Amino acid sequence: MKDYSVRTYCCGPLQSTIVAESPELANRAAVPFRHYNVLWPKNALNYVIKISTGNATESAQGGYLTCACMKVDKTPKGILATSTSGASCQFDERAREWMIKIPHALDREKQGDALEDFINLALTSGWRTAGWLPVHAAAIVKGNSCAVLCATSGGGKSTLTAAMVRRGWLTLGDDKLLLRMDAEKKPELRALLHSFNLHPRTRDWFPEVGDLTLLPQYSHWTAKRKVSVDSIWPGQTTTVARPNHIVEVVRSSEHNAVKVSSLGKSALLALLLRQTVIPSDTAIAAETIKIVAATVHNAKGWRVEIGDGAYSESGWHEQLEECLL
Amino acid sequence: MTACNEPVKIRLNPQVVITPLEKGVLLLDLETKFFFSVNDSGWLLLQLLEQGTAMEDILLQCQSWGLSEDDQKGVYNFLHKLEENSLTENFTGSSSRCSMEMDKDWEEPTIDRYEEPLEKIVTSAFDPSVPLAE
Repeated sequence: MKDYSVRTYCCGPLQSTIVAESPELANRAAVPFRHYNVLWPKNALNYVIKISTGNATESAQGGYLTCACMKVDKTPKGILATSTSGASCQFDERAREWMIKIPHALDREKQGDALEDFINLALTSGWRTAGWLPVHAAAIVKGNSCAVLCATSGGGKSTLTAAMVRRGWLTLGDDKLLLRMDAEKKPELRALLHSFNLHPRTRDWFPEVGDLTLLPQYSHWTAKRKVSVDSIWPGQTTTVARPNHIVEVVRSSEHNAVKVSSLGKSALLALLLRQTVIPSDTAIAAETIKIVAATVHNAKGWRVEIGDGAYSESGWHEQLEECLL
Repeated sequence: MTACNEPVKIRLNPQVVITPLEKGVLLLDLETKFFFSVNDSGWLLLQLLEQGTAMEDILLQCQSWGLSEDDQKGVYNFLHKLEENSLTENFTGSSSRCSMEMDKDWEEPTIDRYEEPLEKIVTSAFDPSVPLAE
């Protein structure tokens, strides 16, 4: 019997206990967890994630979900996921236990990628079970106004969020939020991590971020750096809000342009549906659309086209703030 | 009655998820990832199709709602669009006959497909974006 390394992490409403075959695997698994730095009032659900070396014995087909490097199927027991690198993951729903197997020969980078994929799967599944919908969006708050900022990866969510924080807005985060309908049947957003993913060139517009190239890259997929919001803009975070605006953020080809227009409910529904992963499971899809539709019902919609150079212009924010406040 | 002379019935495909909205419903086809908005009259017809029903029963239901021949053409068009988008399937076998009350004014049933489907392959279980090329 090997010595196991045991660690516990809180990620929003979940408490995950990692049981790894070696301290090396435990350290690698810790990477995705250590970003979740927002404490929740209580952790509703506990999960165990066991990590060991070994090869996949079966392959998932992607019937439930297909990601860039991972396929996921629903099984009678729970979930089976396999990665293109040969790693595998099985979830026993009754025991609330994930079993991750990482091939011994896999290099460190691929081990890290596979672990991150599986841990994302475990967390998103757990959050849904706890009644929360994971949303890939940013959110800003001022007074009674809360705007969800939507864009694809690299679409400008983080830069606009940082720019609004500089103008006194609070933020719930720049790319990972949880959304649900609360006891009053109103949409409620909660923060998971109070950090921004900023590109080193952000310094061109916001000098106070400093030289971000001095920070380690958190992923080999992107040049962005993960930065604590408090370390740059102290006191500018918040943890819970009721969203009443949804904003589509689009990069404008005109360098200094800022253009704000309104968005109808139908476009808004399509926009917010694209900010969350909907697995091919009718019950999960129905619940997801229900939460998204109710959020859209309670919100005004806007489209902001903004050029990279706009943040250097005075008054870039006027039209947007007029709509949101 | 044997299977060969049973009337062919129509039902919604099991991979179609329906979510009622303030006006009408949203349909998501989990197979193709396309989504559609359907108005209130279309929703009334979809409810007949949820359990599966024969074409004759749909027409009887339309008559009980007092629909004109022109209105019934609209019903045919709507059913055709559902079929065209693979949202319905034909089957033979038993189904409970469903009767629906029309509680809103009739309008031509419409189904509009959103231009872009949701992504079939996503970056990760959290990130619904198209994966970046390696």
